[in-house]
Amino acid sequence: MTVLKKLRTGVPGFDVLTTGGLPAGRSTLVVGRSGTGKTILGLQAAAHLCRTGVKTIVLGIEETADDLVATGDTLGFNLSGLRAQGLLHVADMMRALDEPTIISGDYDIMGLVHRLEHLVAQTGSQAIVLDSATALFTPRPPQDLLRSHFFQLVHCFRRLGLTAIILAEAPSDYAQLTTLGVEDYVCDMVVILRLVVDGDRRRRSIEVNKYRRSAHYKGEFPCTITTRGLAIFPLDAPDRPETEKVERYSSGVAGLDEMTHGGFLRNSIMLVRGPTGSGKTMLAGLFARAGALRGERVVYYGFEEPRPTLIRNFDEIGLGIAQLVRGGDLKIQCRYPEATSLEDLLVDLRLGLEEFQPSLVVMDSISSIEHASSEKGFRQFMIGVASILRGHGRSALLTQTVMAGTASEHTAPYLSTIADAIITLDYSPAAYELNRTMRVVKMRGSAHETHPYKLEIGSGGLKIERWSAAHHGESIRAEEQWRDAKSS
Amino acid sequence: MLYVSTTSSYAASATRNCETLLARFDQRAVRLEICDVSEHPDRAETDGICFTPVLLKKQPLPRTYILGDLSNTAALVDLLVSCGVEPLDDGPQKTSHRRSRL
Repeated sequence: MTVLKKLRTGVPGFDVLTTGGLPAGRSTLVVGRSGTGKTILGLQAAAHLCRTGVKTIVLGIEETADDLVATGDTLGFNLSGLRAQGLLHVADMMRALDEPTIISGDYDIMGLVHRLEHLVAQTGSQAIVLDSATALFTPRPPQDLLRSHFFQLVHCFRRLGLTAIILAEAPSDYAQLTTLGVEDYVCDMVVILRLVVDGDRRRRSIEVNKYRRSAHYKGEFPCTITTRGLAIFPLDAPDRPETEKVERYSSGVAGLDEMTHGGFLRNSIMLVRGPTGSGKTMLAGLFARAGALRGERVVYYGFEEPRPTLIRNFDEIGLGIAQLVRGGDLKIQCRYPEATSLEDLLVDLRLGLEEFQPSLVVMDSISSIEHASSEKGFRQFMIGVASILRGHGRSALLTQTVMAGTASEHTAPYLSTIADAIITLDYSPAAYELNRTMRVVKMRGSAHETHPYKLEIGSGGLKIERWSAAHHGESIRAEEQWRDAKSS
Repeated sequence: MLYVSTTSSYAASATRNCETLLARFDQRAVRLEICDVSEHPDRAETDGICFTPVLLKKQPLPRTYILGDLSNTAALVDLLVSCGVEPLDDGPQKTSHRRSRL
């Protein structure tokens, strides 16, 4: 059996989903309702193909050649440059709308076939993007004729050795695949783009519906359209070389380093759970500060308060965050999850990792995101976050807000799988003061203390101390009393 | 202009249908040109031709496309009449002042 040759599209995530890209010399159908990003995917792939030496033709039927090039240029695909270099040929197939067409009998698509033969001979193109089949077959011939026309077209692409991307409109997200209803049979790969309503948000997704003779990821995967085009999140971590050496670094809190028997491990994700006021943000700040002081680059995503407030609060307790931010090693980005889409946050995270190259990432808190999205949306987001972090081999500290007294109790299964270490912060009222505790619930790859440590919040941040057994009993009694009081 | 592709079986029938029909009309009022797209793909490009056979009426404006092999003659008859080209065997002869170009 011959190995199927594939061409990479350069669309982030697409080549992962399709285990290598487009089937070379074959046709790929991209379907979706209007506004799902078909044209963007087509142009983005065309630009990448051109850049990798595969001359490409774009047949624009819905838009003029100049409009398509302008669309691509806005997204940074540099289509005008590729066109000027003779790598990209944009054929304008738009017909004036004021020129009527009357049908007087049978016909076929040989006119276009001859033009393509001519164009391919002239330009030496090896790939083609048709935008779109739906517009090409307007007015729409009877179904059997349509099927034969489409077959002639795909056959022509194949004869000319073209790797084709055929865009087609879908009447709905989930029912019938395409408006014309004939395209999928003769294409080797079918990709569906969707823009579905999820709660009060819209969520984009992509699905590889079929791929002849090739493995591919199945089901819907989140994607988004950014200022740089389409980006897809395959939701699993690309394989990274095994790290043999166990490298530790300080959590930023001396007591926590003791509890974890020497600090956090590199390339791991820490989940810090605790009720409001338990010191999560402060722990996050200390973690970020320690990293920046070591000369590492740190990104802090704050979802709970505006940036100036966050920095001021940190500086109030003497962390000197403002200075680290000025120094450039610490980047603080604050935004409200309600005001953006989760996919855009993922894109932000990935671009941030690629451009700023931080070794540590903080997200405070993922609960704000959880509250601003559906359960499915949040789960996909968290898996996406983990995928991006692991793909880049970075460490992250994520905080999550839970009810007081429940920090150690329950974690959604997908969250506990993502987290390499879970640290809980909690408090219970003792006779006079709050009894604050910190506990390492789990830590992959490391021994750790399992009993709670006493936590104090004060100037300079968090102070963590080992508890005496007597102290421990006292706290358990206090906690029981508190729970009884709560339940009665 | 009648665009056909000689690699297609529709070319012969379209040409025949078109010429048979035009013979019933005032020849002086019509100028027909037949273009084989397989030999002149660039000309098909200029007129935005994807499907063949297709008859393009260039003058008088507006340009109009009649798609198909003209087995349904009504479309072309209507078009000629609307351009003022008279059938030869119908009623008194009238000379068209406008010249149609197909």
